Amino acid sequence: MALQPERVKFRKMHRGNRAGLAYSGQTVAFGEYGLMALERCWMDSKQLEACRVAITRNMKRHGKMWIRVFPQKSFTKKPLETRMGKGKAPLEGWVAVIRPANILFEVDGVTEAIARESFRLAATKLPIKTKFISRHHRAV
Amino acid sequence: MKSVPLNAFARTQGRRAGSKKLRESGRVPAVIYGGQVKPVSLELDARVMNDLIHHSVSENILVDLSVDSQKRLALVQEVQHHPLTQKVVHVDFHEVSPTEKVTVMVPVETTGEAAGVKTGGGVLQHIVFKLKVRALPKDLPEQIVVDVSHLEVGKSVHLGDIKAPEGVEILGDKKVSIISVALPKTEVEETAVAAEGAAPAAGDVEMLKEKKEDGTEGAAPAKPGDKAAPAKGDAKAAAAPAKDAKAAPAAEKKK
Repeated sequence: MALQPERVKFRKMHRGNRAGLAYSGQTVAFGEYGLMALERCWMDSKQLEACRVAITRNMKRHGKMWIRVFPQKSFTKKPLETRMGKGKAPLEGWVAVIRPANILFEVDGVTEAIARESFRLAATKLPIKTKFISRHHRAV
Repeated sequence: MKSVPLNAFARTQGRRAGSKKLRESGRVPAVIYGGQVKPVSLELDARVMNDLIHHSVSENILVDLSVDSQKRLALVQEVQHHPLTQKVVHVDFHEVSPTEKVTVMVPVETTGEAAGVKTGGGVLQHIVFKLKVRALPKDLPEQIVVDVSHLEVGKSVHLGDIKAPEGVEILGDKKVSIISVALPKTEVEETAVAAEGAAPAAGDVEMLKEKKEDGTEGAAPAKPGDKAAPAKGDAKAAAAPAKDAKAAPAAEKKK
Protein backbone atom coordinates (compact mmCIF):
# COMPACT_ATOMS: atom_id res chain seq x y z
CA MET A 1 0.00 0.00 0.00
CA ALA A 2 1.68 3.18 -1.17
CA LEU A 3 1.78 5.96 1.37
CA GLN A 4 0.11 9.25 0.61
CA PRO A 5 -1.84 11.86 2.59
CA GLU A 6 -5.56 11.29 3.03
CA ARG A 7 -6.52 14.92 2.95
CA VAL A 8 -4.62 18.05 1.95
CA LYS A 9 -5.39 21.74 1.87
CA PHE A 10 -3.86 22.28 -1.56
CA ARG A 11 -3.01 19.53 -4.05
CA LYS A 12 -0.13 21.10 -5.96
CA MET A 13 2.87 22.35 -4.04
CA HIS A 14 5.98 24.45 -4.57
CA ARG A 15 9.22 22.54 -4.90
CA GLY A 16 10.72 24.02 -1.74
CA ASN A 17 14.35 23.44 -0.88
CA ARG A 18 16.33 20.55 0.52
CA ALA A 19 19.34 22.41 1.86
CA GLY A 20 21.02 21.71 5.18
CA LEU A 21 20.86 18.76 7.53
CA ALA A 22 17.74 17.28 9.03
CA TYR A 23 16.84 19.22 12.14
CA SER A 24 14.29 16.74 13.40
CA GLY A 25 13.92 12.98 13.07
CA GLN A 26 17.66 12.47 13.44
CA THR A 27 17.73 10.16 16.46
CA VAL A 28 16.61 6.57 16.92
CA ALA A 29 13.38 7.18 18.81
CA PHE A 30 11.33 3.97 18.87
CA GLY A 31 13.42 0.93 18.04
CA GLU A 32 16.90 -0.37 18.71
CA TYR A 33 18.42 0.08 15.25
CA GLY A 34 17.88 2.63 12.52
CA LEU A 35 18.75 3.47 8.93
CA MET A 36 20.11 6.99 8.52
CA ALA A 37 20.18 8.94 5.25
CA LEU A 38 23.57 10.40 4.36
CA GLU A 39 22.40 12.30 1.31
CA ARG A 40 19.40 14.35 0.27
CA CYS A 41 16.62 13.30 -2.06
CA TRP A 42 12.92 13.23 -2.79
CA MET A 43 11.98 9.72 -1.69
CA ASP A 44 8.76 8.65 -3.33
CA SER A 45 6.10 6.40 -1.90
CA LYS A 46 7.07 3.51 -4.19
CA GLN A 47 10.63 3.50 -2.87
CA LEU A 48 9.39 3.59 0.72
CA GLU A 49 7.02 0.72 0.01
CA ALA A 50 9.81 -1.32 -1.62
CA CYS A 51 11.97 -0.79 1.47
CA ARG A 52 9.14 -1.76 3.78
CA VAL A 53 8.56 -5.00 1.89
CA ALA A 54 12.30 -5.80 1.85
CA ILE A 55 12.63 -5.25 5.61
CA THR A 56 9.52 -7.15 6.66
CA ARG A 57 10.37 -10.08 4.38
CA ASN A 58 13.88 -10.35 5.74
CA MET A 59 12.70 -10.10 9.35
CA LYS A 60 10.23 -12.91 8.60
CA ARG A 61 7.52 -11.31 10.74
CA HIS A 62 9.71 -11.15 13.78
CA GLY A 63 10.35 -7.88 15.51
CA LYS A 64 8.76 -4.56 14.78
CA MET A 65 9.41 -1.87 12.20
CA TRP A 66 8.77 1.86 12.09
CA ILE A 67 8.77 4.07 8.98
CA ARG A 68 9.99 7.45 10.22
CA VAL A 69 9.31 9.47 7.08
CA PHE A 70 6.06 10.16 5.25
CA PRO A 71 5.55 11.38 1.67
CA GLN A 72 3.78 14.66 2.46
CA LYS A 73 4.80 16.48 -0.68
CA SER A 74 3.10 16.13 -4.05
CA PHE A 75 4.90 16.47 -7.35
CA THR A 76 3.54 17.01 -10.83
CA LYS A 77 4.64 15.94 -14.30
CA LYS A 78 3.61 17.16 -17.70
CA PRO A 79 2.31 14.46 -20.08
CA LEU A 80 4.56 13.39 -22.94
CA GLU A 81 4.61 15.45 -26.14
CA THR A 82 2.92 18.37 -24.43
CA ARG A 83 3.94 21.95 -25.17
CA MET A 84 5.16 24.08 -22.32
CA GLY A 85 2.76 26.38 -20.51
CA LYS A 86 -0.96 25.92 -19.93
CA GLY A 87 -0.51 25.85 -16.17
CA LYS A 88 0.88 23.41 -13.67
CA ALA A 89 0.69 19.76 -14.69
CA PRO A 90 -1.44 17.05 -13.05
CA LEU A 91 -0.25 15.21 -9.96
CA GLU A 92 2.26 12.41 -10.56
CA GLY A 93 3.05 11.17 -7.04
CA TRP A 94 4.01 11.88 -3.47
CA VAL A 95 7.48 12.26 -1.98
CA ALA A 96 9.17 12.68 1.38
CA VAL A 97 11.90 15.34 1.48
CA ILE A 98 14.96 13.59 2.88
CA ARG A 99 17.94 15.51 4.23
CA PRO A 100 21.22 14.05 5.53
CA ALA A 101 20.85 12.65 9.08
CA ASN A 102 17.16 11.76 8.65
CA ILE A 103 16.29 8.41 10.20
CA LEU A 104 14.28 6.54 7.57
CA PHE A 105 13.40 3.24 9.26
CA GLU A 106 13.77 1.70 12.70
CA VAL A 107 13.48 -1.89 13.86
CA ASP A 108 13.31 -3.58 17.23
CA GLY A 109 12.93 -7.12 18.53
CA VAL A 110 15.49 -8.67 16.15
CA THR A 111 19.20 -9.38 16.43
CA GLU A 112 21.71 -6.87 15.13
CA ALA A 113 22.69 -9.23 12.30
CA ILE A 114 19.11 -9.46 11.03
CA ALA A 115 18.61 -5.70 11.40
CA ARG A 116 21.80 -5.01 9.45
CA GLU A 117 20.84 -7.40 6.63
CA SER A 118 17.29 -5.98 6.48
CA PHE A 119 18.59 -2.43 6.21
CA ARG A 120 21.17 -3.47 3.61
CA LEU A 121 18.37 -4.89 1.47
CA ALA A 122 16.26 -1.78 2.01
CA ALA A 123 19.17 0.51 1.15
CA THR A 124 19.52 -1.13 -2.26
CA LYS A 125 16.04 0.20 -3.11
CA LEU A 126 17.01 3.77 -2.33
CA PRO A 127 18.66 6.44 -4.49
CA ILE A 128 20.93 7.67 -1.67
CA LYS A 129 23.72 6.48 0.60
CA THR A 130 22.64 5.36 4.05
CA LYS A 131 24.19 4.28 7.34
CA PHE A 132 23.20 1.71 9.94
CA ILE A 133 22.98 3.18 13.43
CA SER A 134 22.03 1.79 16.80
CA ARG A 135 20.53 3.42 19.84
CA HIS A 136 23.43 2.55 22.13
CA HIS A 137 26.49 2.93 19.96
CA ARG A 138 26.06 6.24 18.23
CA ALA A 139 28.96 6.01 15.81
CA VAL A 140 28.49 2.58 14.26
CA MET B 1 28.33 5.33 40.24
CA LYS B 2 32.08 5.83 40.55
CA SER B 3 33.47 9.20 39.61
CA VAL B 4 35.96 9.34 36.75
CA PRO B 5 38.82 11.85 36.75
CA LEU B 6 38.74 14.27 33.81
CA ASN B 7 40.97 17.19 32.95
CA ALA B 8 39.41 20.38 31.64
CA PHE B 9 40.83 23.76 30.77
CA ALA B 10 39.33 27.21 30.96
CA ARG B 11 38.16 28.16 27.49
CA THR B 12 40.42 30.51 25.63
CA GLN B 13 38.35 31.11 22.52
CA GLY B 14 34.72 32.11 22.75
CA ARG B 15 31.73 32.39 20.45
CA ARG B 16 30.98 30.42 17.34
CA ALA B 17 34.17 30.97 15.39
CA GLY B 18 36.25 30.23 18.49
CA SER B 19 34.37 26.99 19.11
CA LYS B 20 34.91 25.94 15.49
CA LYS B 21 38.65 26.54 15.83
CA LEU B 22 38.64 24.55 19.07
CA ARG B 23 37.01 21.57 17.40
CA GLU B 24 39.47 21.72 14.54
CA SER B 25 42.34 21.64 17.02
CA GLY B 26 41.04 18.44 18.66
CA ARG B 27 39.24 19.97 21.60
CA VAL B 28 35.57 20.05 22.55
CA PRO B 29 33.87 23.10 24.06
CA ALA B 30 32.09 22.45 27.36
CA VAL B 31 30.44 24.31 30.19
CA ILE B 32 30.02 23.65 33.88
CA TYR B 33 27.16 25.11 35.87
CA GLY B 34 25.21 24.46 39.04
CA GLY B 35 26.16 24.90 42.64
CA GLN B 36 26.64 28.41 43.99
CA VAL B 37 29.12 29.63 41.42
CA LYS B 38 28.72 31.20 38.00
CA PRO B 39 28.87 28.98 34.90
CA VAL B 40 32.37 28.56 33.47
CA SER B 41 33.19 27.83 29.82
CA LEU B 42 35.63 24.96 29.46
CA GLU B 43 37.40 22.96 26.81
CA LEU B 44 38.20 19.24 26.85
CA ASP B 45 40.43 16.92 24.90
CA ALA B 46 38.09 15.41 22.27
CA ARG B 47 39.82 12.03 22.31
CA VAL B 48 39.58 11.70 26.10
CA MET B 49 35.90 12.63 26.02
CA ASN B 50 35.16 10.15 23.22
CA ASP B 51 36.96 7.37 25.12
CA LEU B 52 35.01 8.22 28.25
CA ILE B 53 31.66 8.00 26.44
CA HIS B 54 32.55 4.80 24.59
CA HIS B 55 33.72 3.04 27.74
CA SER B 56 30.67 3.93 29.81
CA VAL B 57 27.34 2.17 29.68
CA SER B 58 25.32 5.35 29.23
CA GLU B 59 25.96 9.06 28.94
CA ASN B 60 25.22 9.49 32.65
CA ILE B 61 28.78 9.87 33.89
CA LEU B 62 29.97 11.23 37.20
CA VAL B 63 33.28 13.05 36.73
CA ASP B 64 35.88 14.54 39.02
CA LEU B 65 36.58 17.57 36.91
CA SER B 66 39.89 19.26 37.54
CA VAL B 67 39.83 22.78 36.17
CA ASP B 68 43.07 24.72 36.70
CA SER B 69 44.04 22.60 39.74
CA GLN B 70 40.56 23.02 41.21
CA LYS B 71 38.47 19.84 41.66
CA ARG B 72 34.73 19.88 41.04
CA LEU B 73 32.32 16.92 41.17
CA ALA B 74 29.94 17.04 38.22
CA LEU B 75 27.45 14.95 36.27
CA VAL B 76 27.46 14.91 32.51
CA GLN B 77 24.17 16.68 31.93
CA GLU B 78 24.10 16.61 28.13
CA VAL B 79 26.37 15.52 25.30
CA GLN B 80 25.60 17.14 21.96
CA HIS B 81 26.53 15.06 18.94
CA HIS B 82 26.82 16.12 15.32
CA PRO B 83 23.70 14.69 13.65
CA LEU B 84 25.56 13.16 10.73
CA THR B 85 29.03 12.23 11.99
CA GLN B 86 27.93 11.62 15.60
CA LYS B 87 31.08 13.36 16.85
CA VAL B 88 30.86 15.10 20.20
CA VAL B 89 30.16 18.79 19.60
CA HIS B 90 29.60 20.13 23.12
CA VAL B 91 29.35 18.82 26.67
CA ASP B 92 27.35 20.20 29.60
CA PHE B 93 28.53 19.40 33.14
CA HIS B 94 26.23 19.93 36.11
CA GLU B 95 28.11 20.47 39.35
CA VAL B 96 26.65 18.38 42.16
CA SER B 97 27.20 18.10 45.85
CA PRO B 98 28.15 14.62 47.14
CA THR B 99 25.63 15.00 49.98
CA GLU B 100 22.66 16.25 47.93
CA LYS B 101 20.27 14.02 46.01
CA VAL B 102 20.01 14.57 42.27
CA THR B 103 17.36 13.60 39.72
CA VAL B 104 18.57 12.10 36.44
CA MET B 105 17.23 9.98 33.58
CA VAL B 106 18.73 6.50 33.57
CA PRO B 107 18.42 4.04 30.65
CA VAL B 108 16.53 0.76 31.09
CA GLU B 109 18.12 -2.44 29.85
CA THR B 110 16.68 -5.94 29.67
CA THR B 111 18.29 -9.22 30.57
CA GLY B 112 17.24 -12.72 29.56
CA GLU B 113 14.97 -13.83 26.75
CA ALA B 114 11.28 -13.37 27.43
CA ALA B 115 9.23 -16.58 27.58
CA GLY B 116 6.66 -15.01 25.26
CA VAL B 117 9.37 -14.36 22.65
CA LYS B 118 11.05 -17.75 23.08
CA THR B 119 7.97 -19.94 22.87
CA GLY B 120 4.97 -17.75 22.14
CA GLY B 121 6.32 -16.01 19.05
CA GLY B 122 5.85 -12.57 20.59
CA VAL B 123 7.91 -9.41 20.20
CA LEU B 124 9.60 -7.67 23.11
CA GLN B 125 8.62 -4.01 23.12
CA HIS B 126 10.48 -1.27 24.95
CA ILE B 127 7.85 1.31 25.75
CA VAL B 128 9.93 3.53 28.02
CA PHE B 129 13.67 3.80 27.42
CA LYS B 130 14.69 6.02 30.31
CA LEU B 131 13.51 6.26 33.90
CA LYS B 132 13.67 9.26 36.18
CA VAL B 133 15.57 8.36 39.34
CA ARG B 134 16.57 10.30 42.43
CA ALA B 135 19.63 9.43 44.48
CA LEU B 136 22.91 10.67 45.87
CA PRO B 137 25.53 11.02 43.11
CA LYS B 138 27.55 8.06 44.45
CA ASP B 139 24.44 5.81 44.47
CA LEU B 140 23.27 6.67 40.94
CA PRO B 141 23.04 3.56 38.73
CA GLU B 142 24.53 3.69 35.23
CA GLN B 143 21.51 1.75 33.99
CA ILE B 144 18.56 -0.14 35.41
CA VAL B 145 18.50 -3.79 34.42
CA VAL B 146 15.13 -5.54 34.21
CA ASP B 147 14.85 -9.33 34.01
CA VAL B 148 12.24 -10.19 31.37
CA SER B 149 12.72 -13.96 31.25
CA HIS B 150 9.33 -14.59 32.92
CA LEU B 151 7.40 -12.29 30.58
CA GLU B 152 4.61 -14.05 28.63
CA VAL B 153 2.77 -12.76 25.57
CA GLY B 154 0.40 -9.93 26.49
CA LYS B 155 2.14 -9.25 29.79
CA SER B 156 4.21 -6.23 30.68
CA VAL B 157 6.59 -4.94 33.31
CA HIS B 158 5.26 -1.83 35.02
CA LEU B 159 7.23 0.88 36.75
CA GLY B 160 6.03 -0.40 40.14
CA ASP B 161 7.46 -3.88 39.38
CA ILE B 162 11.01 -2.62 38.97
CA LYS B 163 13.21 -3.01 42.02
CA ALA B 164 15.31 0.07 42.55
CA PRO B 165 18.92 -0.39 43.69
CA GLU B 166 19.71 0.57 47.26
CA GLY B 167 19.54 4.30 47.94
CA VAL B 168 17.77 4.97 44.64
CA GLU B 169 14.21 6.13 44.24
CA ILE B 170 12.44 5.62 40.90
CA LEU B 171 10.07 8.49 40.18
CA GLY B 172 6.89 8.40 38.09
CA ASP B 173 3.50 6.71 37.82
CA LYS B 174 3.80 3.13 39.08
CA LYS B 175 1.21 1.87 36.57
CA VAL B 176 3.16 2.90 33.47
CA SER B 177 4.24 -0.04 31.27
CA ILE B 178 7.98 -0.13 30.66
CA ILE B 179 8.48 -3.35 28.70
CA SER B 180 5.88 -5.64 27.20
CA VAL B 181 5.60 -8.67 24.95
CA ALA B 182 3.08 -8.37 22.12
CA LEU B 183 2.14 -10.64 19.26
CA PRO B 184 3.40 -9.47 15.85
CA LYS B 185 0.91 -8.66 13.09
CA THR B 186 -0.24 -11.81 11.33
CA GLU B 187 -0.05 -12.25 7.58
CA VAL B 188 -3.87 -12.15 7.33
CA GLU B 189 -4.01 -8.78 9.14
CA GLU B 190 -1.36 -7.28 6.89
CA THR B 191 -3.01 -8.41 3.67
CA ALA B 192 -6.35 -7.09 4.95
CA VAL B 193 -4.79 -3.68 5.60
CA ALA B 194 -3.16 -3.74 2.16
CA ALA B 195 -6.47 -4.61 0.51
CA GLU B 196 -8.27 -1.77 2.28
CA GLY B 197 -6.10 0.92 0.84
CA ALA B 198 -5.31 -0.75 -2.45
CA ALA B 199 -2.94 1.66 -4.26
CA PRO B 200 -4.83 4.93 -4.63
CA ALA B 201 -3.86 7.05 -7.63
CA ALA B 202 -1.62 10.03 -6.93
CA GLY B 203 -4.45 12.50 -7.53
CA ASP B 204 -6.97 10.64 -5.34
CA VAL B 205 -6.62 12.83 -2.33
CA GLU B 206 -9.34 14.64 -0.49
CA MET B 207 -8.94 18.37 -0.11
CA LEU B 208 -9.95 20.34 2.94
CA LYS B 209 -11.63 22.90 0.69
CA GLU B 210 -12.97 20.47 -1.89
CA LYS B 211 -13.27 21.87 -5.40
CA LYS B 212 -16.56 20.99 -6.99
CA GLU B 213 -16.19 19.85 -10.56
CA ASP B 214 -19.71 20.73 -11.69
CA GLY B 215 -18.94 24.34 -12.48
CA THR B 216 -19.50 25.76 -8.99
CA GLU B 217 -15.79 25.43 -8.33
CA GLY B 218 -14.54 26.76 -5.02
CA ALA B 219 -16.95 29.49 -4.13
CA ALA B 220 -20.23 28.97 -2.39
CA PRO B 221 -23.23 30.32 -4.30
CA ALA B 222 -22.64 34.03 -4.20
CA LYS B 223 -25.45 36.15 -2.93
CA PRO B 224 -25.00 39.86 -2.55
CA GLY B 225 -24.33 40.73 1.08
CA ASP B 226 -23.81 37.08 1.99
CA LYS B 227 -20.63 36.27 4.00
CA ALA B 228 -19.98 33.15 1.96
CA ALA B 229 -16.48 31.80 1.44
CA PRO B 230 -14.71 33.49 -1.46
CA ALA B 231 -13.17 31.54 -4.29
CA LYS B 232 -9.98 29.65 -3.39
CA GLY B 233 -6.90 31.72 -4.05
CA ASP B 234 -8.88 34.94 -4.32
CA ALA B 235 -6.83 36.63 -1.64
CA LYS B 236 -8.33 40.04 -2.17
CA ALA B 237 -11.79 38.70 -1.65
CA ALA B 238 -10.77 36.91 1.52
CA ALA B 239 -9.08 40.01 2.88
CA ALA B 240 -12.00 42.29 2.32
CA PRO B 241 -15.24 40.70 3.47
CA ALA B 242 -17.05 43.99 2.89
CA LYS B 243 -16.44 43.57 -0.81
CA ASP B 244 -17.92 40.08 -0.85
CA ALA B 245 -20.77 41.02 -3.07
CA LYS B 246 -18.37 42.34 -5.68
CA ALA B 247 -15.81 39.56 -5.24
CA ALA B 248 -18.17 36.66 -5.85
CA PRO B 249 -19.24 37.70 -9.35
CA ALA B 250 -15.57 38.34 -10.10
CA ALA B 251 -14.79 34.73 -9.16
CA GLU B 252 -17.52 33.52 -11.46
CA LYS B 253 -16.12 35.55 -14.32
CA LYS B 254 -12.77 33.82 -13.92
CA LYS B 255 -14.34 30.49 -14.73
